[in-house]
Amino acid sequence: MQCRDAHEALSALIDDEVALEQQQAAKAHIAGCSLCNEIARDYRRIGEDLRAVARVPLPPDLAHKVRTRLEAEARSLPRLAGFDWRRLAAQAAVLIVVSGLSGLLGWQLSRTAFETRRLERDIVAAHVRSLLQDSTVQVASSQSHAVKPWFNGRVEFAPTVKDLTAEGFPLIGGRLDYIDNRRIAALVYQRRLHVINVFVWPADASNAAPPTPSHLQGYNTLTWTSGGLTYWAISDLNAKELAQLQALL
Amino acid sequence: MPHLVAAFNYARWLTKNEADAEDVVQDAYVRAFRAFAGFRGVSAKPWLLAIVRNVAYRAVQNRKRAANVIFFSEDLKHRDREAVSEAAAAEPSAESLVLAADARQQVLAALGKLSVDYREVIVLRELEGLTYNEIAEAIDAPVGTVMSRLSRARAELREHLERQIAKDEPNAV
Repeated sequence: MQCRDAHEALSALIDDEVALEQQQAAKAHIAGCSLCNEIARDYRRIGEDLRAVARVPLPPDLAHKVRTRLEAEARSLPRLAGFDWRRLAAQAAVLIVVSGLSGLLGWQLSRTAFETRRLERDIVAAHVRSLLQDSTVQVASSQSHAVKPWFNGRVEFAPTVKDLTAEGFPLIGGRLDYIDNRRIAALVYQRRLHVINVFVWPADASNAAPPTPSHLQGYNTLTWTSGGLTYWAISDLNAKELAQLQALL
Repeated sequence: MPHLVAAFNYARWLTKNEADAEDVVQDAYVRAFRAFAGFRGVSAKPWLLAIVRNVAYRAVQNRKRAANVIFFSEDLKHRDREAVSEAAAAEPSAESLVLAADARQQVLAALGKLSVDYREVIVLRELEGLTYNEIAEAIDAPVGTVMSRLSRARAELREHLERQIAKDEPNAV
């Protein structure tokens, strides 16, 4: 065995992890090689030194913190051990009543309403989240021909991007966001000091839908579908001016 | 709490920051608790350390992604130095050991200089005493990779230390 190959085997030899067939050759070389001997000695000493000083002492309260987190987690999970039969019976009764009711009201209807509410919450969350960041955009430009190509390869559709500076809605830029379990395009416009997020993604149904305004946690929203894309505009801007932006897009 | 010392030590060497390591360990135990039903391995330690690693990597990534986070590297260095002096203080302070302790501190600095890929295999092998198979499980890599990384990591550690000694030599003479 050559010295260079032995160096590779040296480390594994110290750890007693060399395959049997290699062991003989490696040991034979090292026995007669002073450099390899020195390196092996250094490696062993480094290991000893590390064991002596590199172990980081456990912060005294960490075990308690972990236990508290785990207990909270255990409480939030359905109890498997130690059944509370009365609670289970109560839950079952509630479940039966609720499922009966929802059957009467129309399962599909409540489901759609639930989906819409969930979507609206996603929209508000994405809007607020964008305002919490240092910048609302990943690509900053008022030029639609700079923002639009940025989305190529990032989303699988081409969102409509317009520079509306002349109309009083300057384009700030674009970014990616995640709404309704998919990656979507977010375009950011401004009206005076109001930030407007316009979320765009491919529509589920191809027929166009007229603008529908809504009001959520103090934000005005407007949603519509055109050209096979669904748009959601959200801002603290008043509903009338938000509708103006929609008409321009 | 099983393997807590190992989990914290590993997290601390991955993140190089005690506060981050504490958060990582707590999150990792909650994850492990949730995932325990799916645990099919033989040994819990590498499995748990693999979870610690995933959480730590995500934490480091998030920290890098937050554009306005400023790395107080000087501050960190200071903290490392504190850790070093604490570790040194824990050593027996007999005069004959002072020189040896000094050399040992250099090994800490050398470990800190390694890239995270090398640092973690050293920590798992030398400090946690995991076998190559267990390390492979913890870092989700083939055993051959573990072997070569450990070999290169040791060579690099040795180089750092030799360079350090060469730097100190003129003062000693």
